[in-house]
Amino acid sequence: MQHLDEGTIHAWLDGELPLAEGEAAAAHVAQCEQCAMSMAEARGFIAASSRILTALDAVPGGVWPAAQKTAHVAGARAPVRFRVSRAWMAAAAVLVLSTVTVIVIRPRRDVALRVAEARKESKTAARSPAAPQPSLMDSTAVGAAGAPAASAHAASAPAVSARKPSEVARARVPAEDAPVLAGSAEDKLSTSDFASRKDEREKAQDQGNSVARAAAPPPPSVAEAPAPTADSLAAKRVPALHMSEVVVTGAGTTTSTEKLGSAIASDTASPRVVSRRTSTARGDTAVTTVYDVQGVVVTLIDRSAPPTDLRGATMNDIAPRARLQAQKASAINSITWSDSTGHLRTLRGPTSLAELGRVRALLFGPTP
Amino acid sequence: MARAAVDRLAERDRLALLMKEEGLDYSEIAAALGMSVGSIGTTLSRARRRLVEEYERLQLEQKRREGNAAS
Repeated sequence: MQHLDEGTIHAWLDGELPLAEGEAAAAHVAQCEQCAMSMAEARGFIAASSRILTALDAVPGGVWPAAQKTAHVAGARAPVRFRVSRAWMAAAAVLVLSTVTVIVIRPRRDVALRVAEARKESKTAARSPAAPQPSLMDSTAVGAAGAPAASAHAASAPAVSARKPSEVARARVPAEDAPVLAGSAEDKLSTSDFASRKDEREKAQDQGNSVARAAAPPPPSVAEAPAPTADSLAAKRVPALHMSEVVVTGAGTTTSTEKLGSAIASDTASPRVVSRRTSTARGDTAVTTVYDVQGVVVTLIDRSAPPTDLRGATMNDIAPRARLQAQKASAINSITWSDSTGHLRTLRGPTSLAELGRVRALLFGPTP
Repeated sequence: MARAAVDRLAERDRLALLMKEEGLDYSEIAAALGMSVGSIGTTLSRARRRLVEEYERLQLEQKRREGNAAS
């Protein structure tokens, strides 16, 4: 048998030879020393190559960077975790809470500040001698509906309303001057503020007159009743007044004022002013002045426009009717006339017509 | 050094050797390399011999370099 070649030996050593050829090769190698040496060398090569190729799988440490090593392990991707430190979370929570608190508290604080300011203003106005502001606020509270903030003021309202109606002067306020009454605290406070400022404004506008609240056109018994003085009226006004009834504006009749002033200055027997009231209703301004003429009290009603509540009665009918009613009532005479300025004046008093005429002449000059 | 020694083999020899190391038999290696089964033994013998010789040569060269560096 021929010597075995290296391929056959390697095949026989790898177990790739068929069974018959393998037995034949084994028998030959047992008898052939040269083939035995070749077979031994082949086994050496097979073992060495196997060790070298095995060394290829052993990756030494430190070849891959630590960060990349984990990502390359088994080709798996490391999960990305987003972690927020507790300090950042706490800071974010504090920021959110502070923002919410500012948004919520600021409006309330603004309201509280405005309430405090309004109260200060009301107190400051109350200290002024012109108008009794606290009572005005009380009346405001009484007149308002459903105002929880006005409860403090409403507590004093019963005491205010206990005063006699005769002590309370009422007057109608033009619609444009009437303050809006609402159910909120701010409206109440703004209303009182309005009232205090309105009083101050009227006082500045009216030259010789103080801010007054006139009643309806005085009944005939006004001359009999004790004539209230301007000071008493000023002192008794306001309490338990509705805001809609407060404040009366009216232009005085300058003509009568001038005449009156000159008369008082020059003649002691001239009519002496006891009181004066100004009222405005439906655009008609009426100034009611009470004079004391040598112990006799006469009333002068000066209207800027003829009254229209007499069912179409003309001016010519007014004087006779009033005169007749006065005579029927209690011997009170009255004279009524109108001048070139369009003012309708009525002079009334428990005296004769002649005396009334004399008083008229004293006040307005001789009759043309 | 092992990688270097393997890289110095012929491509066919390297592939045959690596496939045999992976556990493939001669028929599979022959089919993969487009060779006859009878020639795989010869190829592997040649490849193994060269691989060992190259590896020894590289070790020798490395020892020489280390020796030179040490001196």
